Amino acid sequence: MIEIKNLHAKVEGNEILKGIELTINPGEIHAIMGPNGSGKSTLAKVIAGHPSYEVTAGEINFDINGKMVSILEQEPYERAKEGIFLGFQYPIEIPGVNNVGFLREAFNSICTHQGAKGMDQKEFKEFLKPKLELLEIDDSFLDRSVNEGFSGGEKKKNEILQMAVLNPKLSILDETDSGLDIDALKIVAKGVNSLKSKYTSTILVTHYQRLLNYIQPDFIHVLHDGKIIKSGGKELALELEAKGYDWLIK
Amino acid sequence: MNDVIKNYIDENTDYHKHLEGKFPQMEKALKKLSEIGFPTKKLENWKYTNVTPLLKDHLKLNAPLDTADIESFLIKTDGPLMVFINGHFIEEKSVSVPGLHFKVKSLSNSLPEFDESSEESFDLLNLSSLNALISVKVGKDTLIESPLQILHLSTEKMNGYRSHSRVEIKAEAYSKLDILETFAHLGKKTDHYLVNPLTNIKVGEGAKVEHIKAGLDSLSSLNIGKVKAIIGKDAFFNSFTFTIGGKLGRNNLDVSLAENGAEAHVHGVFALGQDQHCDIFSIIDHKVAHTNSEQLFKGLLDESAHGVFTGKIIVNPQAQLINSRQASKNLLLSKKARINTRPILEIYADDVKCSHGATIGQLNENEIFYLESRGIPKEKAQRMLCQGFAQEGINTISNPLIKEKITGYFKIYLKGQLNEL
Repeated sequence: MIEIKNLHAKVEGNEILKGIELTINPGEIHAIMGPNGSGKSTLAKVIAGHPSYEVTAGEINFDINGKMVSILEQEPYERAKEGIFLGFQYPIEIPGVNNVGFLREAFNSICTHQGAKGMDQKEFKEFLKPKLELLEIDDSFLDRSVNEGFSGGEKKKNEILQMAVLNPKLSILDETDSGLDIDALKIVAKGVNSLKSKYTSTILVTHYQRLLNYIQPDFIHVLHDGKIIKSGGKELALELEAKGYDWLIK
Repeated sequence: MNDVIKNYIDENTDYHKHLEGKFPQMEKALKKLSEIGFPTKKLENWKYTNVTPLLKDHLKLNAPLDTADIESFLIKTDGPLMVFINGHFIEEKSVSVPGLHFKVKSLSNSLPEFDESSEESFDLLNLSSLNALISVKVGKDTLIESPLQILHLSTEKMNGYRSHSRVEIKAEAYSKLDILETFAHLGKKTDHYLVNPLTNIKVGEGAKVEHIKAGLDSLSSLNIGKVKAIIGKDAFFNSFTFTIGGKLGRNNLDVSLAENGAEAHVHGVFALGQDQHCDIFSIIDHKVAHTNSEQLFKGLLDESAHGVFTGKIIVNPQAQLINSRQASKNLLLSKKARINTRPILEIYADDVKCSHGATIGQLNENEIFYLESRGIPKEKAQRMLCQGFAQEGINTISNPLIKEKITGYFKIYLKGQLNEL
């Protein structure tokens, strides 16, 4: 699905990623853990193509129509059209842009790219219905401005709703669990689990083991100072929960 | 007197000679105008706007009459309609409805008293150039369902001319009226003309009036006008000034909260590109206690456009317990675009709530990235953000038909089709 080789990236002149190696196959869920400032969110943004981050060395190759293709030169919207989705740690508020209009615009843009027909307003509302039910989201949510005045939990649910609508090949969820109460966390996890398939992959960026009680990862990687310093199975999360990160760093 | 104004004074002097009857008010206005001339940037109120270069080629009175297809500028309703083409009131295209009376008044029995203290050149030019007045009255307790549309259309034949109109609107006690006043153009973008309208609105006790001005003039034209409103006891006035057209626009808004309980919302959006210049000069005068005002102006400026917003709030000594809020929010979309925004608060009472704020920013990179990361191309994302930015302003229009029309006009700007105005 995605191959990251010797990836180096900087922001505002500071090198944050210092040689990331990571390969993810279809159907896998990978968790990226690590202390604050280790580069987790940077990795997520670099894969999605955030313009503030500059890749100085290395490669990111993504499966496009069965071939591994470098996406480093692609604009963020081109990557999104190929099936890369970033769930934001801090979803952006966009006053004046209606949530359902935004969702439909994004959906139709990706449909057109993939050669499918877009949906009109009515069809789209029908299409949304089961997804809203799954995430326990009220209809009124659609007519509000994107994320404006949403609670922390609503914002994160909105991210998962977008993921459910766009049906990406690779979902990168950046600290989706932070700031969620237990009910919201369960709903978000239910959403992610229901979208899991053998054709799609997920990267969970998280600080805590909490989310991993609800979403079972296949692999766990520990990021420190811009590098993956340890990889393992799901049992690694429990070890980290008990011992913290210090034993790995020293 | 400089050369530029001399031509205008001479032409108006000649015009007065040929009128049937004597009109001392018009003569006095002209005399005053010849003394003070056109405003220059030395005047505090005109600090950011220079009109003289665009008036240098003398713009003549009395443009030729023309016919035009007006349909595209109208909201389809069976509501009242007043049509001006090239400054001439076209009675046969105009429509009245029960409850709303309008009259074309000849100069002889309708000219207002000349206000000796008037220092505003374009008010004086307006008065000294009039050929008629139009008055509109909505009777007591009358609700006019469909909006009154006032269309000021300029055609190709307006090139090289100027027009001056005066519309007096009176909403009597407990009446309700929505007005869409559109300034539009059918012709070439190089058509150079001056539109100089004055709209006087009196909102009677408990009445509600909404006035929307849509500015869609040619990219070589000037529109220098005034909306003057006096708001009575417990009355409500909602004003919205929308501008995407014109080479140079100056919108004077002069709102007086004259009696207890009067409330005015004075909002607007200007969205400009190329080398357009739009100057909003607004005065909200809290004359008495228990009056409220709100103001939100949003500016979008692309290419070399220049926007100016002045929001003056006056709170008189006896006007205690008033609420006033003002916000000016602006988006610069290019490196060469400029905005000057200045709140001016003159508060002479001590128990009042007044707030004001001004912001100038660019499109937020994180917002663009957020939309892009959902598969929306960058340009489209930028347009969506501009639309969202303007929408907060446009949403203050309460009449749904007018709101829809203005939203449609805004799309012309979003699509970069100003040249088609």
